Amino acid sequence: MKLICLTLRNFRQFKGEQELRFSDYEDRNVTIVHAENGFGKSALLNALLWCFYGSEGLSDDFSNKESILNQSLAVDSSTPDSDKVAEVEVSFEHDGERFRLIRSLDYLQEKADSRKTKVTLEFTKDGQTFYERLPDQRIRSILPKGIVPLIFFEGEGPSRFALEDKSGEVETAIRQTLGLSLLQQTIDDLKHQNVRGRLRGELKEKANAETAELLERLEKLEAQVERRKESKAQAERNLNATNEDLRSVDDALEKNREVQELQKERARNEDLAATAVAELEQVESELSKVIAEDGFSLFTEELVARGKAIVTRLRNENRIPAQVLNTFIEDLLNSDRCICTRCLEPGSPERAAVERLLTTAGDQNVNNAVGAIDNALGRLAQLREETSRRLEEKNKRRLQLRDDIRVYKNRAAEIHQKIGSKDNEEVRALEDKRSVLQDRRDSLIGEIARIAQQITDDETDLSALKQSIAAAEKSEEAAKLAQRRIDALEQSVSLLEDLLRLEIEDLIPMLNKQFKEHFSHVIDRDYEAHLTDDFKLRITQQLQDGAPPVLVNPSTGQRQVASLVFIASLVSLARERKDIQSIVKGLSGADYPMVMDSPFGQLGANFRRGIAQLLPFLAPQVILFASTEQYFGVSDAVADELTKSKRIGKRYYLAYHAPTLPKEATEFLKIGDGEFQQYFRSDEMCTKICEIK
Amino acid sequence: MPDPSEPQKLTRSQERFLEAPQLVQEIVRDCIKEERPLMHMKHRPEIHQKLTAIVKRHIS
Repeated sequence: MKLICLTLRNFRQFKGEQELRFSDYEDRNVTIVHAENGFGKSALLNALLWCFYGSEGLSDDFSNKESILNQSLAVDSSTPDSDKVAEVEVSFEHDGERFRLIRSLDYLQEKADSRKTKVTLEFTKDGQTFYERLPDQRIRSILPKGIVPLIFFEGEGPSRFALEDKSGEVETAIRQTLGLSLLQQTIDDLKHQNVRGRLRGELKEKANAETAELLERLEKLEAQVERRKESKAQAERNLNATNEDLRSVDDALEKNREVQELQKERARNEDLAATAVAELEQVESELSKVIAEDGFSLFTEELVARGKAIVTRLRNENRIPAQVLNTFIEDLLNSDRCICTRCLEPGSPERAAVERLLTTAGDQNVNNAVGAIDNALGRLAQLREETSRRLEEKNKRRLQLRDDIRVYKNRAAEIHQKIGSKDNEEVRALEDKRSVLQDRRDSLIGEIARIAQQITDDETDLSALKQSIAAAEKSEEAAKLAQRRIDALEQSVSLLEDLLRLEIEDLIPMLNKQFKEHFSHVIDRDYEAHLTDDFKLRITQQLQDGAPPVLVNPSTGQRQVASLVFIASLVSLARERKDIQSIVKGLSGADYPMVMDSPFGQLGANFRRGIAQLLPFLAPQVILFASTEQYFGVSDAVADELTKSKRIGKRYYLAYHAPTLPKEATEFLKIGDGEFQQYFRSDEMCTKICEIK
Repeated sequence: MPDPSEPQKLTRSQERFLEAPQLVQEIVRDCIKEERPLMHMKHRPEIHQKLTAIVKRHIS
C-alpha cells in the first residue's frame, strides 16, 4: 500500500481545502511534515485514521473526538448548515489498483451523532472506475485494524511492544502483517459449531447407534477443550494484569529512597533468575533430545568390545583379510590349469593340492562385511564417547544453573526480609502487596501449565475418537456421504493448521534475524535483542566474554528502540513476503507505509541516528511528523541522517494562525538556508499546510 | 525482489499444500477466498453457511 495524497476539507483546525501529497518514489520514500507541538501534527495523523476507520479509528488521546468539523465554520451563521461539511480524502495504491477514499460528516449529523459518517471508496482498475459497495469492509481487508498501531503511531506509544506482557499484541501484529490471520480465521470458522457441528449433526442423523454415541462423546470432549482454552486464556490475562501490578509496585519501591538500592538489587537478581530459568529449560530440552536420539549408544560398550574382539581374533588368525580368495581357486579349477602352467586334470595330485586350498581360502563378501562391521563398531564407540561427553557437559550446566537460580532466589528472598522489616509503613505495605502478587503470579503460572497439559491430553483423546468414528461401519449411502464430508473438513483443517505452523516456523527466524541485526546497528554492541518463541521482545546484555547473556530490564529508550526496530523489521519482512508467490491467494504479506508522529521521544543522539538511518531503507514509505526538537534536537541527529540518506522526497510545514504562540514554539522555522514563517498572529485559529519546494 | 525469469523455490508451506489431495486443496482455496474479504469484519454474516456449502459442493 502506498499513500498518494491526503486532502482535508474543514477537518478540525484545517479550514477550507488543503492538500498534502506524499512522496511515492521508491528511492525518495520519506515525506516530512515539520510542525511545532500544538500546530496540528496529531490532527493530521488522526485525519488519516478517521478517513480509514471513522471515529473508532481516532487515537485515544485525540481530544474532543466528536468535534470533527472546523469550529469557526460550525459557528459561522452566514454559511447554511447544509454547506458545513468536514471531509477527508485519501488517495492510495494497493495491489496495482488506485483507490480514492472519502469520508465526510456534515454539521447536523455531527450534532446528532458524529460517529455516523458518509464514506465512499472508488477504485480504478484497467482504466475503469468502480465504486465499492461495502467500502468499510474493503478498507479493513486492505488495512486491517489490528496493524494500525504498527503503521500509524504517536510518540512513545510503540514502546509498549517491548513489555514482557505484550506478547499477545506482538503475536497479533506479526500474524496480521504477514497475512497469517487469514489462516487462523479460516481454521476457527471451519471448526465452528455451525460448520463442523452441522456436518457432524448430519452424520449423527444418518449413522448407526455406535457412531452416534462416538460423535456425542467427541462433541463433549471438544466443548471441554474449548472451555479449557478459554480458562487458559483467562488465566493468561490475569497473569498479565498481575505482572502489570507487580511492575507498579516495583516502580513505587524503586522511587522510595529508603529501599531504592535494595529494590534495584532484587530486580537484578530476579532478572538473572529469569534468564537462568529460561536457559535451564533450553538445556533440559537439549538433554532430552540427546538422550532420545543418541542415548542408546551408552549401552553399547560391551557389544562394541565383543565385536572388536571377534574382528581382532579373525585378523590374528589371518582369516581376515583372506590370504587367497575362493573365487580365484575356483577359476583355476574351472580352467584346469594352475598359474604355474601345470595341468590340473581331474584325479591328478596337482588338482588335489589346489582343491585343498579351498578349505582355507576366504570370501570377498565376508572380507567386506567384516570391514564394514569393524568400521561401524568404531563409529559406535565414537558416538558413545561423544554422547557421554555431551551429557556430562549439559548435566553440569543444568546443575550449575539450578545452583545459580537458588542463589539468585535466596538473594531476592533476603532482600524481601530486609525491606519487610523496615519501619516505613508505606514500604511495608508495598512489600506485603508484592508478596501477595507474587503468590498470585506463581499460582497463575502453575494453573496455565496445568491447563495446557489437560488440553494436550484431551487433544490426544480427540484424535483417537476421530479415528474410531472414521473407522466405524457405515451401512447407509447417506451416512457414508456425511462421513466423507467430515473427513474432507478435518483434512482441510489439518492442512490449514500445518500451513499456519510452517509459515510461523519459517517466518519467525527471518523476522528475528532482521530484528537482531537492525537492533545491534542502533544499540551498543554489548546489547542484543531477540524475539522469543512466545513472542516476547527481549533485550540481553553480554557482561563477560563467553558467559551467557543477561536479561536486561530495559530503559524507556531501549524499549522504544527495540519496538521501532521490531516494527520496521516486520514491515520490511511483509514487503519481502509480498514478492513471494503464494499458492493460496491472500496468504501473503503486504507493503505498508509507516506514519509516525514524533517517534523519537526522549531518545539520545545515537539512538535517534540509528533509527533515522534504518527507517527509510526498511519501510517502503515513511511519513514523519516532527517538531523542531524531534527533527533538529540532540545535535541535529535525525536531520543529519535523513539528509545524508538522500531519501527525503517531499517536505512540508504547518503554518499556525492563532492569537498566541504556543509555549516552546518559534515564529520561524529554519531549514538549511531557508527560513519559513510558521506562526501568524490571528484572532481566528487555523492551520495551513505549506510545501517546501 | 526475486528474479521473475528464475523459477522460485517453493516454501515449506507451499510444498505441504501441494502434497495435500486435490480435493482438499480446492476446499481450502475456496474457503480462503470466502474468508479473505470478510476476515477483518466484526460481523461476518453467512460465513459459516458459505463454508458448509463449499464442503458439500465438493463432496456430493
